[in-house]
Amino acid sequence: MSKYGFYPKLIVILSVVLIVFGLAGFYIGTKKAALSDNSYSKNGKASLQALKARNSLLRQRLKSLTPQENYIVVDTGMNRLYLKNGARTIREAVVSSGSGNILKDPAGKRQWVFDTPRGEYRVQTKYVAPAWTKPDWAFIEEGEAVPKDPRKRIEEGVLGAYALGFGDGYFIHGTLYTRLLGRNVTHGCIRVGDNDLKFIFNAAGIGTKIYIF
Amino acid sequence: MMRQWLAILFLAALTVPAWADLSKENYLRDNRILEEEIRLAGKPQVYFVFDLREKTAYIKARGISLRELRIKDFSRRGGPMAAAAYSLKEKKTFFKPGRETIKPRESKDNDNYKIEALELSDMPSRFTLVFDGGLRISIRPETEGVISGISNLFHSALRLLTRPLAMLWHAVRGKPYCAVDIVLNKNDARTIFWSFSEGSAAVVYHP
Repeated sequence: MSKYGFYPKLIVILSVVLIVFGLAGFYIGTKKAALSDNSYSKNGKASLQALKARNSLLRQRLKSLTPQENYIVVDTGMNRLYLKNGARTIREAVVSSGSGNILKDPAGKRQWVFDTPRGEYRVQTKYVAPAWTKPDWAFIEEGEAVPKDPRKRIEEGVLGAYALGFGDGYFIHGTLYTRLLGRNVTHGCIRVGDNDLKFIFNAAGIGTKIYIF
Repeated sequence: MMRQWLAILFLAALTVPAWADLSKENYLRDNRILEEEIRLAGKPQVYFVFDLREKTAYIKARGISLRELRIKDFSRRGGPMAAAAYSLKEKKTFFKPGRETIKPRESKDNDNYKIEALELSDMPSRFTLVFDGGLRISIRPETEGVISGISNLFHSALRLLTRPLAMLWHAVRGKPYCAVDIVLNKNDARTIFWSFSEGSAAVVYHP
């Protein structure tokens, strides 16, 4: 009969195996990382001066991509909108963006995810005193039947004084619910307070770029 | 004394070509990553730049820096990191934030309006971004208080144990594996999780 039991022995053996494999993995991984930089030298026929010049050219090209005209940046996580020109921020506004909620149509197979879309967009349309043409989901969310008459979809005064459309029914517009600015509560549009909206509406023309992340 | 100076001079002369080569490799790698970034900037999608040398992460589109996030600390293990754009395959975390499903009529009937939405504060601050090409970037928040400290210690210990095994496993299978651990401010870590979606591209400038 052994002095020690089965389980302590097993733990010791497993620990030794784990340490050996761990050390082997650590050695291989670290060695590979150390060798990694050599892979670039094989193709390096250009002189150091030429490489430096190329580096500076590429950096310059990247820097030159920043537009020297007004553009809009929307941070949907922080619920902030920035009107910018080059690297300069002209206006910062607290906004509301998409809630990320899901709505399923009880009658059919349709489903909506209320996210604010991300990526690069352009201001496509500009409206003063816009009226909202309610989409199907607005009726379904309220538990109402979707009207067949398009006139019954029109709702005045809910989008504020101005609206800037950036495609697929998404707008930067005003709001009645100013206390909710800074929160993710919309169906995908970007709601802005009255004063900020007026400033942005005047500063952004058709074609102004919008970057949303 | 003169002999000593000559010896130092001789050793310095020997090491100069090595420095020049290292610098050349760095420029070659840097240029390739810059070319990749310019290629990404040609597309309308948001992409990410982890500049480990400058300890800054950028959320970018069309070459424009949309947001800058300060990297508090980082470490790197494993094989070589390609001078290429990586595409995000998966975001791994213990607790994935879930979306609320709206119940029709509820908003109309409910007098006590409560915001039920997916917000930045619901995002995890400790997660792993799994990219194609064997790159894994683990994000964790900086230590703030005892619980966070214990949690970070636990995760570091776990990594110390599992990472070598993962490196060995990938090496045996002949598959690339490179792991980068990044420490960010809690809110910035959440911003990365919020903004990064599957298919998003990233480039990594590393020392």
